[in-house]
Amino acid sequence: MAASPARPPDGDARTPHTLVDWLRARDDGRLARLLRLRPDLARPAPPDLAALASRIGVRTSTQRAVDGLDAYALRTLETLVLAGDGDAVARPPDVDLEPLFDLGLIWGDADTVYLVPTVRESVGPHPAGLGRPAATLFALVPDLQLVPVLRHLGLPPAGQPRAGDSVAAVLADPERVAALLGECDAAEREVLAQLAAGPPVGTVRNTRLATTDPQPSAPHRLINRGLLAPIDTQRVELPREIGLALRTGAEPAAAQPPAVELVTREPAELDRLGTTAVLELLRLVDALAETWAAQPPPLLRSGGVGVRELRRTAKDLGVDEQTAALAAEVAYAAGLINSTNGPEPAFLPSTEYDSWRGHRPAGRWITLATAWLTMTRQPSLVNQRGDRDRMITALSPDAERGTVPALRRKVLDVLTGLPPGAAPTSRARVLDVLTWHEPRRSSGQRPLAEAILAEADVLGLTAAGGLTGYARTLLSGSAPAAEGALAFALPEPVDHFLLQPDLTAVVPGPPQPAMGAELALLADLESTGGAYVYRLTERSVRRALDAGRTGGQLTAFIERHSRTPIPQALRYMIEDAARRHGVLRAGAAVSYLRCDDEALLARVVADTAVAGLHLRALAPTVVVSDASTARVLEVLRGAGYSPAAEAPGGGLIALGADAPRAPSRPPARTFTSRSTVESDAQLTDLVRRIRSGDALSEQAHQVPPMAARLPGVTSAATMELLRRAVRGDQLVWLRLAEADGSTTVHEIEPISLAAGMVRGYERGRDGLVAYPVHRITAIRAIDE
Amino acid sequence: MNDGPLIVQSDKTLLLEVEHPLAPEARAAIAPFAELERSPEHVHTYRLTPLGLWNARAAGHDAEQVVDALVRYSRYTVPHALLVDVADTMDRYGRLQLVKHPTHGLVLVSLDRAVLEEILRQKKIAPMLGQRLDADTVLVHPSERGRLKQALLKVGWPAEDLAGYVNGEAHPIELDQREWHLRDYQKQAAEMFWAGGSGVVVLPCGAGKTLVGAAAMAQAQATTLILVTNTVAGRQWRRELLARTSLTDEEIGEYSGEKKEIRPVTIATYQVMTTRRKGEYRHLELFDSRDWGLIIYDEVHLLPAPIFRLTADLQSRRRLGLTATLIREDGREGDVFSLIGPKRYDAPWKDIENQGWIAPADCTEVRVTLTDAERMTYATAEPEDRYRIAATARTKLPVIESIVDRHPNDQILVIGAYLEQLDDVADHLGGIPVIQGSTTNKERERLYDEFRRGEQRVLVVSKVANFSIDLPEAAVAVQISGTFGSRQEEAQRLGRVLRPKQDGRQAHFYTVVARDTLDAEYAAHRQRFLAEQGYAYTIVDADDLLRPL
Repeated sequence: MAASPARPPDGDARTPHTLVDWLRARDDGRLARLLRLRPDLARPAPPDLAALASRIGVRTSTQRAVDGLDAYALRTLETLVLAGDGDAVARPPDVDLEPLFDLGLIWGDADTVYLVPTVRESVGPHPAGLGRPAATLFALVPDLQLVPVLRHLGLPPAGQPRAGDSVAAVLADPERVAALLGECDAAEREVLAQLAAGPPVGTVRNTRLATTDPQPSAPHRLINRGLLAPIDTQRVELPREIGLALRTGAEPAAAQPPAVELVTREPAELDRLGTTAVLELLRLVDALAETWAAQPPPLLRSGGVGVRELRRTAKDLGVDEQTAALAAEVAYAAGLINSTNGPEPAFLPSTEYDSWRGHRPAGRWITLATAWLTMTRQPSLVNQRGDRDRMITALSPDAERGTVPALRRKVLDVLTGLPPGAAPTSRARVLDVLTWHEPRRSSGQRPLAEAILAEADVLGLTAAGGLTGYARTLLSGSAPAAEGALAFALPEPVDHFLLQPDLTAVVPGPPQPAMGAELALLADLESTGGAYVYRLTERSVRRALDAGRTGGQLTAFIERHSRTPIPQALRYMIEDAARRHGVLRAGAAVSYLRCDDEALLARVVADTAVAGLHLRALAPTVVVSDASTARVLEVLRGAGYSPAAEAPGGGLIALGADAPRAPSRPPARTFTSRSTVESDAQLTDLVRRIRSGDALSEQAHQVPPMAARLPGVTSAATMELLRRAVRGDQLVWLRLAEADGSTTVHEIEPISLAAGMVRGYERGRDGLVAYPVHRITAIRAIDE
Repeated sequence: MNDGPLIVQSDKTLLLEVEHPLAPEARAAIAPFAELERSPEHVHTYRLTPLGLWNARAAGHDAEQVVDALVRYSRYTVPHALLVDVADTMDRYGRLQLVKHPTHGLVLVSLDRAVLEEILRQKKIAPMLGQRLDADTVLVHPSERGRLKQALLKVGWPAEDLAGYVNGEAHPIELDQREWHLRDYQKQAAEMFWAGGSGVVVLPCGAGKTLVGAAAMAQAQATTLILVTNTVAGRQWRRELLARTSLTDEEIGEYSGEKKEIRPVTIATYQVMTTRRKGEYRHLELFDSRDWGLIIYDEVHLLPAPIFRLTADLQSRRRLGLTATLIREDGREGDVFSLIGPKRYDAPWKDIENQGWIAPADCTEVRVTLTDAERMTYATAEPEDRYRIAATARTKLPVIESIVDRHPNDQILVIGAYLEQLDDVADHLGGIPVIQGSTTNKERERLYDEFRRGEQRVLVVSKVANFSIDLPEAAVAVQISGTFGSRQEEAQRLGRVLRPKQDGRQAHFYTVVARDTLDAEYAAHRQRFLAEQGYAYTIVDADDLLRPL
């Protein structure tokens, strides 16, 4: 169908009459641009221009396009909407309409512009924040409420619809309006100014009170004078004429996004500033994994981590809950933590975490930053009230926001547009630019966008608000290059520490991984930042001993790395701990034998007949075995002893198991934006297909499809026509049914027909093409 | 990266590498706003706190100086968020001011109306405020001055107290410096206190805090109330004041359990001030009995809670707090700050020791191995008895004796917490007098005098001697048991031997602990404070000590 509700009254031969004609007249480049700007039009591929034209006017599509307009284009469109009642606007204002033409929101030419259907609805009832025209508004006001208005305006009493018309006629006169506005007092002016700035609808106590109240309030006085129109008992609307009069002299919409005030630093300095956040983030994730491995937070039934657990985690990490939630969300998105499956599921570091830890700091950060950029969850929502006033918990499904990756990208794109090393003076400036780009979405996006900027600072993508060099590289798509840039900016790892008499060890910089790991085993991390401060305590030393180090090894490690002499107290502490360590021994055995007769027990141990039991004497009266009690009894009885079974005692607990880990989880699914722009080649191809489809459908009504003539049969006529074409080197038009149900059209010069396939050369393509004959739905020979 | 001596941590501590050539310069730059937390040998730790930053603001430093100092001396890039936070925090101070209004009296004036609106809506603060005089001014009842400051500090909008102080009843007091001179740091401490109006001076034990008090009195030229921990300490103050100032015997009164004298300079004990009869504090009128121009709180870290409450009512009087450590085992450092005043002067112990003003000390921990029988008793004891059993092990006795024998020419204090043990030790050492809680003040004075004169070489003392006894000739302290892990007790006890000796002898501080018991654990905890102050402990095995020299 041709989507063109309004035809130009007197279009000449060059002026396209319909939207389809207009589309047909656009060159390929512009059509490709349209499909690029509104990708939803190209999915699935429209078979011809008529289909494209009808899709252009679909409400959801126009709504999306209108919502995506920048402030200037939106104002232009609103001007057009305001300029006429219908979809045609003759002699449009002298502004740049090209962006709107490109988007397919309007069509026509410089003389007359047509709004694509549904665009008016998409813009909404109050374009540019102006109310409806007085004629529309006052036509709906009940007679009774118009009486004081008529009286005030000096009009004769009348009923609807005449009363409404006469009021509208007065308001149409700018001089009368100016006079009416001149009568207003300060309170009334304030009401008007507020509504004039938009939205034009306000709420009052009861609009009917205007006629009865002896001392009417400012809005009620305005109703009585016809400056506000009551639209129901609670709401009033400012007529468009009044709004326009009040707005004269207002700033026109800026054609360019607002400039961002900048603080400019050396790019290298900004990067260094960012590394402090990078190192802190890595520490946070490590600390999070450590504290969750020690005390796994249970998975709530509604999903996520409980509020109290998050509070505890934040305390353990030494940060606020928001930051803790961010670290948890990012680690989760990167697959470093996951919930266990089991009767009581809980969150634990995953096996990916262990391999992640083995990477260099820069690589580890890239993993986290990439996860954040693509994750569909918004950490700032944690601890806020969500649907049904329910608290959104960390890692719960409630924090899912599918549009957030696209928004992140948009926010960061504003920063990418700034010169390297530059940082905006305030986040509000960045948000203003974002608002300019998408004014209609700004109110919903602003809080999220602000949170995104804050998160970028915490994560180290930005430093002091400015995009760091390595983040810039990462955003441009090169993770390895970004890793290199970050590694260069990070401070050199330090391979020594300063030991102090108060038993603290200060590593004056990021510790070398191997030394850091050993030190973390031997001492408790006390503070981080530029340096790492560890405290050695008896407990921490015991932990190292538990991990299999000997006192000598520990002392040797400290001697090797400490720049300062070892305090005597530390030597004593390590010696004491080592001396006490392992005095109590524990082990595993499956069964035991005890006997008060030491001689008998000694005989059993020495007896070769029971050697298979691997009996070990722990004490003169106790022997243990790895075999089960039943087996021990059986073998002993077989060897001629008479043992008896004892009532079972407590179970055994295996020691030295690995730290608990959750099962492996594939990394969070990567997000693909709906607006992913197809390559130029793809678009060009698409446009070509639409055009050829269009050309065919033009001719289709001249030659009915073969299949239509002979339903269900790949007709003999088709085969005959093809055969003739092969013989006679003739060109043919084909319409094919594609596998996805769409139809495509081709113009080929067939050279062979065999095995159900027709092969030949197609215009605009290199090499041979081949199409299955049974897919041909229409065919026609072209006379050259 | 510049190669500065300072490293900024994310928990807002600053690490200063002492050996770095720029360290002294950096220390001077950060000292006004960062609080020295630990000063062990190599790396000193300072902390940025809101209190510290507001202090700096009060002293006329601005955020720019602070940020500049951090950036200039920092080895790594300082996190931007921290700098912003510093600036924001400092900016909060002084938005509200307490001033004297010519007609209305004490008023709270805001330089930022939003802040005033915010605090007017605080449930805890609103009742302390009176009528609103105009958009930016609210009346404050003079009696609420302290509590209001306390409450405002808690909500993070500390008020600048510009309402001034009453001069009090004038009374001439001069320092008598014919035979001695105020040391530089004492003079500086007194000046900084006076410039600030009220506040706390932190000096190590033995560094002459009394003289800072005397200097402040000479500045004030007004009647003074001095609050001390106990009667003996009070008498010591009296002696010092008589010797070092123009004050005469008649001008100094003692207000204690024994005497109730109120004179131009009155020395009262905390204990008598907080004595209650029928639920009422009986001696509070002392605060109002004279128009005091200056109130001195000795050992401010021990200030009992009731005194805090009283102090809240005394905000128009100048207050000087003296202490060796701001650490309070009850964690009420914030109350000291808001009610007595901010810290006005602080010097690391080691610095003062290096200047020769306190005796260099040598700290030794002697480890005693318990006998098998003692170990068994310890192992099977109830948890609440374990520390006592370990700390009072009789195996310690010969070790204590051998320590005493090692210092035949020194004055020795043996300090412990358990009276039975003290008696045991006294017997073991051949009938040495014991000073404990039940010893009368007169007896104590006598024994201390004998000790000072050298007639009594060794004294065994209980906790009563922890504070404020001036025994300048004590060169050796032997600590045999303590109050669990109290850190400030350890510092106080060390302080006993830190007074400079006539011949510049080294002071010795021994701690005798039972190996592998709670005693050793507590000792480690107590030592942490001194280790953080730069004192290193040497550990010696008791067997080595017992071997013949």
